[in-house]
Amino acid sequence: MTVPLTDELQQRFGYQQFRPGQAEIIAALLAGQDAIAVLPTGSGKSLLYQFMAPHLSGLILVVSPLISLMSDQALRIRNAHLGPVAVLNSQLTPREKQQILRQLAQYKFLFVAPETLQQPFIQQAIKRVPLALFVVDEAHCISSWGPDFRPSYLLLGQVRRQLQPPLTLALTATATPRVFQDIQRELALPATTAHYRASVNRSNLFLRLERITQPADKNARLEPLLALGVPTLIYVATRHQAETLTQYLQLKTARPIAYYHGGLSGIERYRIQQLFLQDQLGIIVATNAFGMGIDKSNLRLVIHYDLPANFENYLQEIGRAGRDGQLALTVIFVDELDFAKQGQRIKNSQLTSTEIQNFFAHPDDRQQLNDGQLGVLAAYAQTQLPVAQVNDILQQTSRLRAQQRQAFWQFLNSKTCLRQQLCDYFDEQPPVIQHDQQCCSQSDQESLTTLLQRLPLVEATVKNSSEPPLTDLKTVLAKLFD
Amino acid sequence: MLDNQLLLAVFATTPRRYKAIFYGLAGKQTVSNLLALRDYGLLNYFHLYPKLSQQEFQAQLVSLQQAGWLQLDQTDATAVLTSAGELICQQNNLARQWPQAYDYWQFGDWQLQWQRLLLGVQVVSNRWHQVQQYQPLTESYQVQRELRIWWRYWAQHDWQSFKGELQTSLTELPETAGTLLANSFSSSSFPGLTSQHLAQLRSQSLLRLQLAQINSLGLLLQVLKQNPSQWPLLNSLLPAPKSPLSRSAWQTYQQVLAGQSWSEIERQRRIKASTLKEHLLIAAILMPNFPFENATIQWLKHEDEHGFFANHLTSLEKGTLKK
Ligand SMILES: [Zn+2]
Repeated sequence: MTVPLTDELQQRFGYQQFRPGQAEIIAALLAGQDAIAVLPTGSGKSLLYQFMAPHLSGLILVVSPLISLMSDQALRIRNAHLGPVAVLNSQLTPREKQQILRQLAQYKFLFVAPETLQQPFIQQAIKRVPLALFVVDEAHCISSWGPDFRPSYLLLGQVRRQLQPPLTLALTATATPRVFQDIQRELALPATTAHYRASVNRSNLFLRLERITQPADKNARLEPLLALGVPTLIYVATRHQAETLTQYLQLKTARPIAYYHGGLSGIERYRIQQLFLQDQLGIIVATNAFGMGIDKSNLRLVIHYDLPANFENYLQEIGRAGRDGQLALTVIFVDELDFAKQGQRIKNSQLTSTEIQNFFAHPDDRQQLNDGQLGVLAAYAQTQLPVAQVNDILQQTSRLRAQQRQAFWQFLNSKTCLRQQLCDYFDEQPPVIQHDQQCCSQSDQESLTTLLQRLPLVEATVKNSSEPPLTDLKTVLAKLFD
Repeated sequence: MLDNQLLLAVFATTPRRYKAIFYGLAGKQTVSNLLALRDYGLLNYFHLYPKLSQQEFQAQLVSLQQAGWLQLDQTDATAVLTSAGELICQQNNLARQWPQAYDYWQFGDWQLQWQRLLLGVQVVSNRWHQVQQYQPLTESYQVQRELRIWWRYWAQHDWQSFKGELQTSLTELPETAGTLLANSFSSSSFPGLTSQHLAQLRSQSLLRLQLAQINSLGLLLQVLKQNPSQWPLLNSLLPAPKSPLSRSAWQTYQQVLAGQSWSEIERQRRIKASTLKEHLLIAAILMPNFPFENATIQWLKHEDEHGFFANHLTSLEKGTLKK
């Protein structure tokens, strides 16, 4: 290597050092090896392919599941002047798609949704230009073991065979050993594939279980937690819950607070994120729609008011705390009632073999399926997999989900070190954790108030007085334009 | 989520077809929906609520019936206000909660105009403060692209005049409307207020807040369109559609205005005759000064004197005379 990689990193990106894993993966790609990188959210996964751009001649094709993720990444590339970038998604008109495809040779980066990539004319257009690197973002979506399994990802192996990229890079934030194997197998990556798997252990997060035995417990426990006055994110299970809990808390605290869920307009979601980032909002009550692409470094407290959908979501959601490396507290309310309710919801969303077969025979007959179920089936129908295979996959995933749910519940009711258990579950080579006062705690060992007194959480300069009133027109215009 | 009392304001003490109202709010353009909306005086609310689900709408109607404010006739698919319902409407001034100032046919899709306005303010304000890296307020590809074109077109312009235009136009609005719009703006130098917070400050539901924002936007557009040359930057940021008619309907209408005969039009267009007639009915509903006396129109009317076209045209003509 003529120029050490870190020099290039400083010159091109202005960072002093690589984050763990980045240098290893880049070195492997530069040596012509395919790679799988399991790196926590916010640890610079996208830097990997951004870094490669000048080293490769040809297109860098990035498959990504969400429109918002794609436009966010494309914007970053555009702002940092890393090369011409295009996004192909379902929002474009056919004419706009054609225009991008005709000029494909001019682009360095192309972002595309997996569904879009299935269209033959798009594959043909990509085949006409030299392809340098095939990136699969959120690669855990390929595994039925993963919580975000997407049928359309199953076809990426086939797409890869068609396009024959000289290099492939799979990226994900959470992958258990099983999911990791699935990624390698489904993408048909060779045995020589390089990989880096960061441990899920984040030593600055304090893990806390809080046992709930009666309905009033949850709100009572919130009180001392919110009195800490640190930037706080509260996860709840439903949109309705987010709104009602916010209303309740508005009466209880003078701190500025907002709810956040997928039903809000894009503009409203944007504004809430901005205000939260600028510490103008102190508390957000959110569904799991809050997260992707939001990076607030000084989040000090994450509370799971309701049970997260699964173990992986729990890990990802607590991982939003303490990105600045300072101590942060994560608390999850453990309530048997929630667990039972969740079980019922899962049961209601399960699909029988008959329902699956009926759907494929008569797609227009709604049977008595809800929108969620119809959505799942429609996604499978799009992959054009044979119905027997779809049935197998769906029955298998529902079995897996049940097992994973049990494992998570076991974790939530355990008496041993929580951090050790997390590592054992997610890591390929789990480290041995030296449990101490700053590690984790369970409700029957130390009361929440005692814990809060001794934890040295750094105070942020959060605006804790109540929110500002309306600003008059003249002042608004002065703030905007003077 | 619909705020159930509000929905009372689109009904009356005479029966109204609730499905036509639903499709109208959702923005489904058919002759019979438009005719119904026109009769009910709700034409400007077309496409006000494109995401409205039929299930939700129906559920609201049922709950209004249970409250004793609305009477539903499921066989006719009509609804009528009860006297209790009428009273609620008057006491709470419900009609005034609807965005009476915003006319879809004049200003187009409010969601587009709203995103254009907010993104325009964000882009200019951030440029003013030399902030280069930020996330645009809206993810809409269309609006972002329009903004880039707008920006390039005015690139050599003095952006201080953008502030001037906002100031003079917003001051012409009633004060509450101007303040509401101003506090809805956002950029890196002014975070603005979330809708949740704005609604709280005004002690109203989120939906009522949104309707008030749409109304204020309508008031602003009225001011801008009255005197376009006074506000060139804002007028090109918030362009009004050239015509309320679709391109195809516009073409049919123009051919009629140009004096072409029906057989000529049919020959040239190669579209089903029924579709062409629909174009003309929609034009008769939406275009002021529709030429009922036009020879081609008259010919069509007499060709099938008791048909769909003739019937509706006659009633539209009478309606116009009454005005
Ligand atoms: Zn521990």
